[in-house]
Amino acid sequence: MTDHTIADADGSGRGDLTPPSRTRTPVAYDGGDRDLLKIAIVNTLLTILTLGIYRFWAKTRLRRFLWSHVSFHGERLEYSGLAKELFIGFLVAVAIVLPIMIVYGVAEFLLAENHPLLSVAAQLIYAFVLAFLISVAIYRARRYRLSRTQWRGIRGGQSGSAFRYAVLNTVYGLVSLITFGLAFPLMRVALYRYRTANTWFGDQRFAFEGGTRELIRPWLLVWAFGVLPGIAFLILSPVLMTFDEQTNELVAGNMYVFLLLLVIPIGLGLYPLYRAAEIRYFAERTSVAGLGFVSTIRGRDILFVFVLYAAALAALFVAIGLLLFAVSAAVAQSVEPGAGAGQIGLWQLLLIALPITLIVFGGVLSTFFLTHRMLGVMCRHLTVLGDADFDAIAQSSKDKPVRGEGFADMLDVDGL
Amino acid sequence: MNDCPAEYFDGRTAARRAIRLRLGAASLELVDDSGATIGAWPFRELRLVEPPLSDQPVRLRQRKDGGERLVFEDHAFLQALIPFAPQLAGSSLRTVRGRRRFAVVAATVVAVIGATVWAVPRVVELGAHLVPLAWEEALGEAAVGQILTMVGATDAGESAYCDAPAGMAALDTLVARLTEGLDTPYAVRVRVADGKMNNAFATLGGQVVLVGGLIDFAETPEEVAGVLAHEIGHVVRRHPIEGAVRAIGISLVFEAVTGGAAGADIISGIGSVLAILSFSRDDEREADEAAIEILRDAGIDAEGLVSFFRRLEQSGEGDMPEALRLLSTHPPTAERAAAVAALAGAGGPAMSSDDWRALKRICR
Repeated sequence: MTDHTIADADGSGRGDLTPPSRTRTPVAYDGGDRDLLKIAIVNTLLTILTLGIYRFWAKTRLRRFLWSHVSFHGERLEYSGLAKELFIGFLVAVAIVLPIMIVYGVAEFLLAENHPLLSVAAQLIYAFVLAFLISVAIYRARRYRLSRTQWRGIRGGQSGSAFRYAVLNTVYGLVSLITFGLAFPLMRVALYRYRTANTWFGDQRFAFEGGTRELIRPWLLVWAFGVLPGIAFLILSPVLMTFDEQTNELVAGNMYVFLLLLVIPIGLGLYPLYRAAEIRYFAERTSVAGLGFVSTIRGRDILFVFVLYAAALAALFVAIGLLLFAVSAAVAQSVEPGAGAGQIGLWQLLLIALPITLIVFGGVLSTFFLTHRMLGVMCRHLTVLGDADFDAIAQSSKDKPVRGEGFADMLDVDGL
Repeated sequence: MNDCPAEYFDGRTAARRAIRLRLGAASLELVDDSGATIGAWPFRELRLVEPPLSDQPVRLRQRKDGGERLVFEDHAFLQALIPFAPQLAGSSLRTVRGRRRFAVVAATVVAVIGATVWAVPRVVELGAHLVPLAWEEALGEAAVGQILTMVGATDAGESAYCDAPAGMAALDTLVARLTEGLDTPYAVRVRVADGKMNNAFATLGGQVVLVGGLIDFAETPEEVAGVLAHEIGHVVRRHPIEGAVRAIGISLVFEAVTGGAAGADIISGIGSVLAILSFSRDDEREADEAAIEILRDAGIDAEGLVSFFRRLEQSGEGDMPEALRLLSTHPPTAERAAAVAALAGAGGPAMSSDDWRALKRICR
């Protein structure tokens, strides 16, 4: 498997950094499937019933569960955030972002009619501003989460500037774009370095000692087989599409769809190989208060979770489809031809029920696999090296943020 | 109750101390190896960090959280604590505290929904009045552009409007009659889009667009006058700007509350939102009321309003989806007929038969 080449690529340096004399403490995640499902289902239902306002309480409930089931050195993590902090932070963000959206929306609409070029420029600027705001949001949300994470009674924390982080993200993002994704690991390392060097456990600062060199080989592999075909496909797509004389439009033919269905899964399927190499490398080069880390995660471990998630989603679709089929058959049998009124009522009901079912169960499945199971996989492969002088680690005297994650909530930045 | 072995974190350093917990007179006492009491947490101040699942240790903090933690595995000890510190029982529906909490949450949800239902129309009205007229007129021009595209009136580079001079003169005369003495800030502007669709639109800034197909469909000038009066009724009652504010506001708030895909989706949706403003049934009823007043003041027979929509409804049973869409939010024909009947045939023709022939040929 391609997995091995990646392991070989960065396996060489590991021995020097982890002398056998250091104690090894596993990281455990013992959240039960059934307990998590209960929380995820209740959360989703209440979020829908309250038109989304329960979201903040749901997120907090889930985080308390996840955090409290992660443990090492005999002590569990603790999440001490409050839902109302998230809620207030969100309201503040709405008050700032909503006017920007309205002004842009109206301006763009006015420009679209008479100044198409200006309109395109406005769209580009807006997309740029939005991307920048999202990076700011990611960094700020992380500051909040760390400040609400405790272990052995000591809070985590994050220094640094969200603005500077967003600038880093933008600059390296553009470089990656210009190099057709070749410089992607450069961006990942720069951002990880900034985040890590600004992460604190009490008065102890995290450190990352590493570069991009060891990630080049695993990335090149993924790039050559996963990203490059995608780029080629994008460039060739006008050729692959056929021109429809009647509608004067380019239409995606069978060949196009077939290639699309080939290119996307390959790209998605290969990415976990890089991601796993990255996690292993980042772990072994990160340290805090004399503690080191080792991860043994493989690409297939991550991929397996994704495959299970996809399979569960597919099963959900099939189940709903069968249900629809059964109900429509039953309706067709019970209703006389011509007496259409009752039939329409039922179909309308189903049309409403279907998306709701998908939202409810889709959300639950995503939480179950992509959050809960993924956290389990990450923890199972993670080991803490060495022993810290815990008496010497003191609570940070820095202030913690009072509000939570507003922008991240507003801009739908995924975060745990 | 025996002492319970526990771990203590003092919130100042990460050090862990193995201690024993003992039930005191009014507090939980922390006892170290040597038997010395190193702390006492008043029962009243005890809080669970979170209700522990059966597979988790119990974690206690104090009400004023300074970071100190007590952690112990023995759930039986927690049960023994509850008589002294009932707040540790958690907040299930079985406890008074839990029920009160549930009631507060339920009441809040109901209040939020109620307030929303009450507030939306008022906020929309307020928002509509805050939009400057100049902005609205600019938006109206853009919206008309969207409508023209939608009804297929902008193909092949020719004029998108029907503007045969004699027809325009007839139309302008009719519009002048209908809008004379109207109490509205808008300068009502009526144009005919060169399309086959049988439809009419009232949009921002006092803009009204009739589509060519409607002129073809109309059998009498009173029918055209009726439809025009109805659309002008929307304008007079400010429905387009309220509809725009409502549509954009609701989608923005919905996106915000559900944390949707941020601005991009909403923004791209705004154009179509403005082009086809959906009016509610109440809006249509109001537009009818206004239309009847407008027709009465202009001295035009209102029967055309009823007959037009009745014929539209009948023809709508065929394959005319746009007619169906128009009808879907329109009040029942019977209701409209009753309102018009009250006028009892007052009013005369909308225009001369020469003008009517010219108007019918406005698209030629």
